[in-house]
Amino acid sequence: MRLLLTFIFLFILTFPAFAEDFVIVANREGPLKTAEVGMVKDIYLGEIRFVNNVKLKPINLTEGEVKNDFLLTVVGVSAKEYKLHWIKKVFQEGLTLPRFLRSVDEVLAHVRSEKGALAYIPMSEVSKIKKDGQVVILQR
Amino acid sequence: MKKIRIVLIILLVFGFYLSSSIPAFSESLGDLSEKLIALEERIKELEGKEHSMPVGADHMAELKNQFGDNLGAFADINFRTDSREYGESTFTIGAIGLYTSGSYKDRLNFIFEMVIVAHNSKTSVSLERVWTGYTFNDALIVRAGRFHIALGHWNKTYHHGKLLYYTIERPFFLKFEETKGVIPVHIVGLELTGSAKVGAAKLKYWLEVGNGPGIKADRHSGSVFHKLTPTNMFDTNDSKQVAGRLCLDFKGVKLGIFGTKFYVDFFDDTLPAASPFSPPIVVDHQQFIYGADLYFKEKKLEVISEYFRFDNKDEDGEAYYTQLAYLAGKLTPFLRYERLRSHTVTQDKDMYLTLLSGGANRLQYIGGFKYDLDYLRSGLKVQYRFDKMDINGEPDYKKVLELQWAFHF
Repeated sequence: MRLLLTFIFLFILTFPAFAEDFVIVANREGPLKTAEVGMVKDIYLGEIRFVNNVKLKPINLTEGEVKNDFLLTVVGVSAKEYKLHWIKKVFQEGLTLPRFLRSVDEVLAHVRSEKGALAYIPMSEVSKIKKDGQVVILQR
Repeated sequence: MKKIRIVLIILLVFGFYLSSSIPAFSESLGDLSEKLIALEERIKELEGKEHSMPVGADHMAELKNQFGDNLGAFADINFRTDSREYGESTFTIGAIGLYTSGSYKDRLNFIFEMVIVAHNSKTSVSLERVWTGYTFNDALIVRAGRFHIALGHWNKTYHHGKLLYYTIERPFFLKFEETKGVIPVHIVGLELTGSAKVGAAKLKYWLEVGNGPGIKADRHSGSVFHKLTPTNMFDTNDSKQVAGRLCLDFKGVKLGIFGTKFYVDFFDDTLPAASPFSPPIVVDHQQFIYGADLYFKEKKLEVISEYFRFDNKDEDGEAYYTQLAYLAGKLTPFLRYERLRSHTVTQDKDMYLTLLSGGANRLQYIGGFKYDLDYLRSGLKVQYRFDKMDINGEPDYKKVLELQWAFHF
């Protein structure tokens, strides 16, 4: 029994501390069918703004683990670098800042209603979109 | 025994009461949960309605102007020891850049940037950028107005936002026309720009056509200085300035090539004008400027380097700088080397580099650091600048310590 407990303890210690996972979602009728990382990165940096003549509207969650995780793993920048990038982008090209929303419900409501919307939500909240035909999870 | 009987009677009465009240209780619970479900559905429905309202569906919202929606100001306060630009050690208010930008629906946008410049006895206001654009798609954006010209990385990146860069000033040869820069920084006309994917890289382009700059004589305390002047209202010759830049972005390494051709007219204020709208022109002169730029960021190291070549029938010259910065959190140490060289063949005939008061052979070594009080709003900069300039064939040295508090609100 003691040996088993020791094994379990060691197993927990060696388990990696994953950041909260997320999925990328979009409007079903929108132009995006897959979430190719390079493309999602460019959309969130304002480098790709149109696909198939549809204006893309990237949506961010406000501060939090999921946002930081998404920015680091997909966009390749920290939250600080992302803000700096957009201050420059607006000043250089007169672009509009991406939308920042507080809750997953708000994010999903926007994705549901805007054809070019693209967002990320925590894996733990995926059940909220299962019944909804207007929001699809994009495969990475 | 008596006690047991009393307890049994109490339990019997309580049990009878419970058996009669539980159905009513469970009925009321059922009502409540149904009401809760109905309320939740109503909330969801209302939230859906609020968010499903497409942009522009509210017709009154269409009438709201965008000017001022995104209004910002960049400014800076400086102190520097004895320098070529400002003389004795002094405090200086830097240019105050006010800007606003806006977008309408998906394709229209605009930007407006003006600068307030403080002098000792007056304050002047100058228009820096004003353009409107229409985006057909990512590969084609058409803009019209006054732009910062697409010559190199710096001029299209930082504009008048000193907080956005680490050093206290732009490279000296890239300074704005009013402050003795030797490259036409502004152009009034049309700009086509866009980007496209080329394999694993991205290609960006800018193509501009507009009024070429003039050279204006400025008199201060009996001395005559010459400086470039953008032609906002009318060009003094038929030949338009053309400029372009191609930039290949491969995994964050940006490599650009650029060039411009224009005819520059020399305005001499001392001669009588033919009319109020046509100042006397001494000569018109064809000028080429072209070069390459490099930008990359590897972990914490940022490198920017640009090379400019000046060519005309009389003269050629070159200007370049390389800047290194180490992005260590709030503190960013930096180094920059910048140089302008004029290879004059027939100096007396030259109407560009040797005529412009900022066009003498000059080099600077700059080292310092920027400290972010708040990376979005406020930064302190300290730098040491070694400045060597040829004046009448003799080298003249300045060693300048400079401090700046730059901010953006």
